[in-house]
Amino acid sequence: MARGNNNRAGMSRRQFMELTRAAGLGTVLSPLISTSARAHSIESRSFSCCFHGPYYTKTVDGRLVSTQGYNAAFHDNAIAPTIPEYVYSASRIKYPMVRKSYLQKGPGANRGARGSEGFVRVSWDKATELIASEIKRVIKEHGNSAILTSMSTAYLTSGRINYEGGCMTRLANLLGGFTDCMSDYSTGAAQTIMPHITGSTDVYSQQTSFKTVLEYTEVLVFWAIDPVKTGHASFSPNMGYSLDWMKKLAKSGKKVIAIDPQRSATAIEFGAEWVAPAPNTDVAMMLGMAYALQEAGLENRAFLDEYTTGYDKFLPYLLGESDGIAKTPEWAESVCQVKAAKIREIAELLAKHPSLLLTGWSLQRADHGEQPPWMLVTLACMIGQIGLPGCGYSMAHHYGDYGSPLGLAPSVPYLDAGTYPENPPPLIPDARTTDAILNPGKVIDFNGSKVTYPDIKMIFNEYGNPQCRHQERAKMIQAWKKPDTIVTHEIVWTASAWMSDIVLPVCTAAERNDIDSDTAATTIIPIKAAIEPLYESKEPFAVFTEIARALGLEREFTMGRTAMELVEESYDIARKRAKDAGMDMPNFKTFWDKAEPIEFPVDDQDVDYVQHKDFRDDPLLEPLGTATGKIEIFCRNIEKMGYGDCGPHPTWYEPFEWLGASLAKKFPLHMVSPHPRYRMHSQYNHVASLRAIYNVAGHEPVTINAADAKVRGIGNGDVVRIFNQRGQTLAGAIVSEDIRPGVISICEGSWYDPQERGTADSLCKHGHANMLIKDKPTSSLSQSCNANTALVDIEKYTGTVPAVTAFDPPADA
Amino acid sequence: MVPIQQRHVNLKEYAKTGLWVGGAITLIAVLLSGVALSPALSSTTFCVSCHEMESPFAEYRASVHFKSATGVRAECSSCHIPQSIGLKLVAKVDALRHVYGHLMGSLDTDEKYEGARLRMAERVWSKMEANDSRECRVCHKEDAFSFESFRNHSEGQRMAQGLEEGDTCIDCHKGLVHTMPDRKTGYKKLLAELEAVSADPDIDADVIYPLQTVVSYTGREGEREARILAATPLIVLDNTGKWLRVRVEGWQQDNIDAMIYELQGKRIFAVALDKKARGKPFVHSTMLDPDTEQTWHQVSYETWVTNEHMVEDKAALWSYGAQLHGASCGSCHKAVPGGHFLANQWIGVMKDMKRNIRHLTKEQYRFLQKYLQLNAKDVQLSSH
Repeated sequence: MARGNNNRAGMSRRQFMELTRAAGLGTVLSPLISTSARAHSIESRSFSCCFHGPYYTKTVDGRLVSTQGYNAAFHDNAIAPTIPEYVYSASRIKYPMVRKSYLQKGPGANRGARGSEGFVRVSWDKATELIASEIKRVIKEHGNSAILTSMSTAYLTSGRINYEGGCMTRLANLLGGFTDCMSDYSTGAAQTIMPHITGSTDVYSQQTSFKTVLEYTEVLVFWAIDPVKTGHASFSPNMGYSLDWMKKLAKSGKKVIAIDPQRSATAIEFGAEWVAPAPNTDVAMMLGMAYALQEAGLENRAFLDEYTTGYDKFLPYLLGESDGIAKTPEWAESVCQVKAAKIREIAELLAKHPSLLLTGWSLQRADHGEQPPWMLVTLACMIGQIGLPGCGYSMAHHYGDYGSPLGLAPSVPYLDAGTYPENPPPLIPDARTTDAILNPGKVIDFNGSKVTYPDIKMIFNEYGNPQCRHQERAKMIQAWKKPDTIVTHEIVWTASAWMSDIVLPVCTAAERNDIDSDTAATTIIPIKAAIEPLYESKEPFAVFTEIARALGLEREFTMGRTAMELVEESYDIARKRAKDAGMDMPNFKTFWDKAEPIEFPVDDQDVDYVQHKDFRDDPLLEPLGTATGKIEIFCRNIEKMGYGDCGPHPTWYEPFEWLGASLAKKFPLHMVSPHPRYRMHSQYNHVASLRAIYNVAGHEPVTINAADAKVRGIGNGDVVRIFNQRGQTLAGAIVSEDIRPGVISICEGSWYDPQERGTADSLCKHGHANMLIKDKPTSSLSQSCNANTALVDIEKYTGTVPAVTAFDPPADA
Repeated sequence: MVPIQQRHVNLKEYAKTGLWVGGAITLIAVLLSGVALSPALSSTTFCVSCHEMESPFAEYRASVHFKSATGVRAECSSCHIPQSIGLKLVAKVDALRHVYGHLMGSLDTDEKYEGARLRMAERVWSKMEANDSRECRVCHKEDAFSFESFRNHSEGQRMAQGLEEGDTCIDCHKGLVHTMPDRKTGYKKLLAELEAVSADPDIDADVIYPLQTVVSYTGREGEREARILAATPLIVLDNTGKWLRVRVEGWQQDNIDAMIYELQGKRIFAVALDKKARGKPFVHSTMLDPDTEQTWHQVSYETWVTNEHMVEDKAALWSYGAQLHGASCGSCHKAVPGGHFLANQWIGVMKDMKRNIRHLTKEQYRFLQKYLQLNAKDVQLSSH
């Protein structure tokens, strides 16, 4: 760790030096029991953070009055100042609540009334006793696998100790484990197939640094990726470095093409040329480009020979020798509706200049979502620039500051997960939970293995909002009427909380203490309670402690320590790691009292990081994590799985719904559901001042092409009804030329607002995209979700527009 | 059988001698006790006179027990030495361990101190738990607390409740003065146990496993020729005590003569050969892998290692791997079981996750990778 020493001199950031100096003065440690920082003065300032970034808090007379982003990107973000509104929202869950019949008659009572029946307020003791006795009963009668939980990522509850997924894992481990989910709704298809192709997930890995992109790359293709919009999203607090790089790149004058059914925020900021294929046809367009390269003799044979395997087995498919269809640009045009000449032009441009093909995660959130990332990499192999500075392909430049160099901040430990059981209950693919609840004992394929669904009797839902993120709302509502018990911990009354039997109130990060570090490891951030937990809400660690106590496992869960002690311990471990690396951090008291992040410089070695450079430099000693050690254009391991819906080389499969399907005669519009700009999925949707920015006529907006609107008599600002065979929702129309004809776009995460609560086939009054999307796996390989595959129609809504009540709590809450 | 009379006489003599000896011992004990109990030997100055105490002394000076608004100071002895003479004497005799430790240099570096921190803290904690935090209570009288006047009301309530339920001070107030040790138990504890086992120089197993990357040599007392990665099975051919001749059985990919892998087609590192040893592995057979169309050689490699860092219990090694896996991967997301990916895929997937597990040492990282690879979907750990 000599480089730590070398960098100490470079650790010039003001705050770090100040803190270090202060530490040298030998300040006084207070007893750990003191949680200090709770505001009692008239006005106080403190510090907290959410996953969008760290922020300052200002409290007056015990009330959080304002918040201000710490870093410029978050400061400029409309979300940062709305945190007090989030905290004091009328949608807050105030007290432990139990569904009426459940309280009277116990598990399984009147389960069909879930979602519509009222709740009764109970004490914490009563609620946790109900949960504990039910956990014990279910384990005793049905085994651990009968309890389903799934780790979620609550973006307003940052922190290493109060991370609810960590708390749940620790509790589950004490009990022998619960059935859990793996993979995720964001990247399921890519994260499962890419390890076979490139030996990496590609979606959760360090990306070629933006610095090298700025310096070396001449042509950028943003293929269904919108980093200007999503650059604030991360798994841990985001410092907005990507957004800063986007600004620099936008001004660099590079040739930029945006391939997207919508003219994205990135396309607009970059002034990009906009090319709009029909949704879900990108693989066909890529095949057309591949054909064009090979036709023009532009494919990089040397690269294909040295670094890839199976091109010779893919070529007969490309040329049409194996299936009788040559994947010519003209053929591609017939599928994706982009002109053959444009397809040739883009292919040549990429091959003849230093170029980067950037894609995000939207292409793989669709039927056969395994194919687009595989074909994109195949195309990049034919171009042959993988491993060169700024060039090749990428799949995560829009997220997690993955294109910025990593900082030298020591890692800050999370809550200890405890000891894992030796024979844990099964893990099921995240996007198959509805299927699993409805079909116990069913065996499904999953990445070459088989998964058997357990018989779910209890859902233990910590923070997540499955009743928003999961596709096909009606089906999941039916599924959630099946288990004996559903428990939800939440901050606000989400659709999942409404559908539960026992609901526990959780506080926000502004109401508790914790510690975190940003996703790029450049800071360690204090999270200091600005106010006491509101109502009877508790921090996640305390919620789990209460449950553990009712189970007789309190000491085992807490290790005899308070959350604050664990926070300090976590800091001390990080401090020791820093010391080992030759860096000084102040003692905990100094850090805590200062109430600002400690900043760390970036790792010099990481500044010019280029993905796959080591492999390009030495393919034998730095092999990829694939069977051959090379990029697998043809994959024997996948061939051996023998799946009809995911063959051994990238293939164009018709999606079950798309504009070329016969169903398009009945439902002629393809609906995409991208990530929202002013929310983190469904989080912040209940913040009225943010909705005021984007809502249309009080509804979630849906963007529709002017021509499609005209034939339907829809005007800008009209309330519309979107519908198909699975469901219907109202929305507010934005009539635009920035979306291709035949496509509508409504962002995911808008809260479900049934006209009649608890009724599966009810109209959604608000604009919930998952009313309309089928609960169907992408393929046998990854069993992932299809968020961007749905045919719908839309009409002007002429009935009386019902009031949106999605954010109202139950009557007695 | 001794005649009764004679026996009587002898007893008398013994008693006489005993009296003298007993008297002498008592005299020495009293004198020593005087020294032991003298205030000088309980002064903070005395306590920190050995350099081992630098670190705890600095921690103490930064604590409220050294300096606070009240102007009351607790000395080292206030917390660590009992007040009553009898117990104090026992403590002093017990403290002779420190003299021995000092002479043996068992805490003479920062690393050694940090390594022992948890053990030392646990010893003190268990003592305080056993004596109901007796030394704390000398100053902090339970009936003298006004829980209502705590600045934070809920903390006062919590403390009152804890005391009522029979908790003792140390149950909650750990790490009050000295830095809280890293108590992440699980894999660290298992590793420490394995390290202790591997320190035993006697090896009598037929197959041994390095606990960490070890160097191998051209011969007994020879030159370095390769590095053998942790958990690689070594078949013992010659055991001469410190030096052992061992054989590694594995596979090499054609054209990559620097590396021996554990299994055919799976890049699970076993041995990294230095340049001079690259021709040394004996090729038993050669095959063309039909899946990858790559040529692989089944090889064996004989070399010399020392008895250091070797363990015999494979199961213990993999228990450590399992806990390392849970602790490293299971904090942020559900730990993905080894069997979800193929052995080769783990190389890339681990690389992806490097940013989140950067606190692992290189050795831990390699060990975790090997554990996951040997648990991969296409490898049966048990059959290996």
